[in-house]
Amino acid sequence: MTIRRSGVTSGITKAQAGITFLPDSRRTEVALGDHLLLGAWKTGVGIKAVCGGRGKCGTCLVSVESAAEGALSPVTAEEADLLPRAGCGQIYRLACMAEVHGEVCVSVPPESQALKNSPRKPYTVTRVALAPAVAHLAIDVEPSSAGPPRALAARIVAALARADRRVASLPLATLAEFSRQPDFDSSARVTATLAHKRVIRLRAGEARGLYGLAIDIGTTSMVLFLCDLAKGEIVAVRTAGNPQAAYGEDVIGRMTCIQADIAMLATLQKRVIDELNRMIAEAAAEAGVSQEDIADAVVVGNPTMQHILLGINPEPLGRGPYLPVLAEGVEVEAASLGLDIIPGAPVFVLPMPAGYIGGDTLGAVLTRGPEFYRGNNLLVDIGTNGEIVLAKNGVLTAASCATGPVYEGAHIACGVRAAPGAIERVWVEPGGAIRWAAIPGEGERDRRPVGLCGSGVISAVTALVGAGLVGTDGAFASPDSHPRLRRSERTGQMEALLVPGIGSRTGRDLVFTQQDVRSVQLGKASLRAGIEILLREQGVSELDHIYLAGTFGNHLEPRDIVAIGMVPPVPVERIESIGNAAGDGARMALFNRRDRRRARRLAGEMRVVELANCAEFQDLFVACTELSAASAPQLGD
Amino acid sequence: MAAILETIKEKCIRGKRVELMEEVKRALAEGIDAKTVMNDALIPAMSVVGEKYSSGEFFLPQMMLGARAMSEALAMLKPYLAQGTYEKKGKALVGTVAGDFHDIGKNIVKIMLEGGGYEVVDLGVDVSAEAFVNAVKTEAPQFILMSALITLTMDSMRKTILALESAGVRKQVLVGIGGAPVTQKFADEIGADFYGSDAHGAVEKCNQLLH
Repeated sequence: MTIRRSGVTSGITKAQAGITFLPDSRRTEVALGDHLLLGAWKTGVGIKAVCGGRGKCGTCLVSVESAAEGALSPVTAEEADLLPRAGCGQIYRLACMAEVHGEVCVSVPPESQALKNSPRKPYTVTRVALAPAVAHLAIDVEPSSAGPPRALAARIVAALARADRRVASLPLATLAEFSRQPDFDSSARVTATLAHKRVIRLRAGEARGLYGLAIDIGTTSMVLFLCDLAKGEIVAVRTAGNPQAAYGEDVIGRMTCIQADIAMLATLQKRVIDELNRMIAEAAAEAGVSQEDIADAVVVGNPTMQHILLGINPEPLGRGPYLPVLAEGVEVEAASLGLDIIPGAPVFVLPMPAGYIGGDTLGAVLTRGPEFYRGNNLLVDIGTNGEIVLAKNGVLTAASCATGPVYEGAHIACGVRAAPGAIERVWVEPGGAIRWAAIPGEGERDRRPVGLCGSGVISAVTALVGAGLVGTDGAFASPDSHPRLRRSERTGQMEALLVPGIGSRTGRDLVFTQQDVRSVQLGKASLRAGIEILLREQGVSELDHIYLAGTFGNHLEPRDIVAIGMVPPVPVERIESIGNAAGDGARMALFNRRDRRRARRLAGEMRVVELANCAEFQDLFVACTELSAASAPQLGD
Repeated sequence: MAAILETIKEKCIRGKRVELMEEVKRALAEGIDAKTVMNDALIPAMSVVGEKYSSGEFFLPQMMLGARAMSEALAMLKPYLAQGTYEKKGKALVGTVAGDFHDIGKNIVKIMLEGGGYEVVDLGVDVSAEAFVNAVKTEAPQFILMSALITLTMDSMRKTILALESAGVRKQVLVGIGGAPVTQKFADEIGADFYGSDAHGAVEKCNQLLH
């Protein structure tokens, strides 16, 4: 990606030009010849760029508000292909293709804005046995007048020893911080907060509350649970979009950004930590908890997110053989990451079983009780990637499939994130009328839809195939078979008109295209082929249960995903949505330190299958593109 | 004769492998020249499959089945084709670049090239720049077709072209690149000779460049 590299890393100061981004009115300067998107990245203006800024997807559409003659490079044929047809006097450009040569002002329309609002990520409360990794210990420090004169630190160490906690010394940071507290050396009763054998905080007087954080860092969204470690309860929850989305929609986008300029690694790391700190402050305020009482944290994420959080270059994860730089679960001190909790608080980042199976998948597995290890069960976490874990009588095998960002509404002509206004369900009535239902917005009066989110995409395919408007091979029926089927003038491909422009919020027709059906087929074929390989390899012919995890898995109709063959045909009542299982798993590991050991053990035991190395993958993948509920997909004669 | 060639073409387009083989046998038994079967039925059939794929009417299974039927039929015809009449249009190396293990797109290009009358040497996946250079020296192809499916591995294409240059063999071959993240612009930037937007497009570009 030389274009970007030349823009970002050049050491020589080049002539600059200013860009103002509306509606946030953020201004930045870029070197002449750099793309608008680079400016957006620099200021953190969230513009969708599904393809990572390569001029392939057309999602980074912006409208030009003002620009002097020649301030933007002319539209190339490649760009023109992806631009909406001219109309309503607006000049549209693709942020990744328009080069800046002078002062410009552009506006980012709602459909191009990267996710800002909190996505819907519910959680499941599971009762857990409490055994936190941190604890308060009340000790009685001898007064300075008693016995031979001894320094305070030595007297605290002696008091700890009397309470059966032998430590050689106190961490300097803990002691120094304590010495800055009022009355630190005049109280006999001192509360020490211990993480394993490390004293992470000292306070005069009796113990106060003891809190911890469970954090799930997704590529798109983040969830943070503030938990009371004494009671085993959640006291506040915060969800937010991952601010790194401004630098690349998916993990490859983030890696590309870092590949172009290694300094971006620190920027991406800081973005996430700043956002976490904001979430921590909000959650603590809501629950009336002091951030000084947060003594522990557990983090899960996909391998890329975990690498970036720890400041480790994730690049090797992006190319074969997809090895992590660090796979083991690690514990670091909060201060080293810059998290605003007790500086010495341990932050445990779950291990990753492979370069493409992260602590988030492991977290999801952690939530499964003994029933998961009896019989044949499958756990599927569907997001940008699909992670699958098969438990055959307790033996775990896992694989990761590139399902593509289809399920987040990306790569789909009218795809949007799951947010108010997104169509989440489509059906065809017996009379042939195409109907839809969108996610309602809180207090929003505009009920017109914006586009289709992931579950709407799957629902649309299922409905169209069910009504015979799309064949099981994925090809559209002829345009004269239904009044809403037509051939696009622009692309020459078939499409179904879901919502005419007059009824949509963008004013443009919401369509579901032949290309969209193909994207769904590729995504679902990848997932299903992965599942089939695990089943065949383990000699499993029938599944007892399928557990669907992840935001997307949560909103899917079991009936739909069986109908299009995304998962093997099992009775729908045996398919269960288990919500944001990764976050639930992180919480379990927070409440009970034995679950951290269990996570480490599971990571070691889980056998990971590299699908690309399976000889039969190609044929299976191709056969699995069929949109039907076949039990053993096979490529025809 | 036209009728049976038409049937052969149709069976091949539809990927009906077993029926295609029967029809080809029948044609040979009726005394139709193997070369005619190849040039007037099989090769045009593959071109139709490619067009249907590009227009979105066909998808991977149809493409794969059509291509497999075709290569089996070609294998059956081979002994009947007199020496010298089974001439290949040209020779191409195909491979997915270093660090990238994506197989399917590259395989489709390979099948389409074979269907289009080319001799193809498949170097596989995760092919190093060095391996491409060595293969150019030993195979002396007219074309190198490189595939990359991840943005991060696109750089391996540039490195391969640089390696061809430093080995002094760059001018002996025409370099084509393709894959989901690849663009014409990227091809221009790294000095590739052409870009194929899909398998069909790649074969068409090769055909144009031969003329």
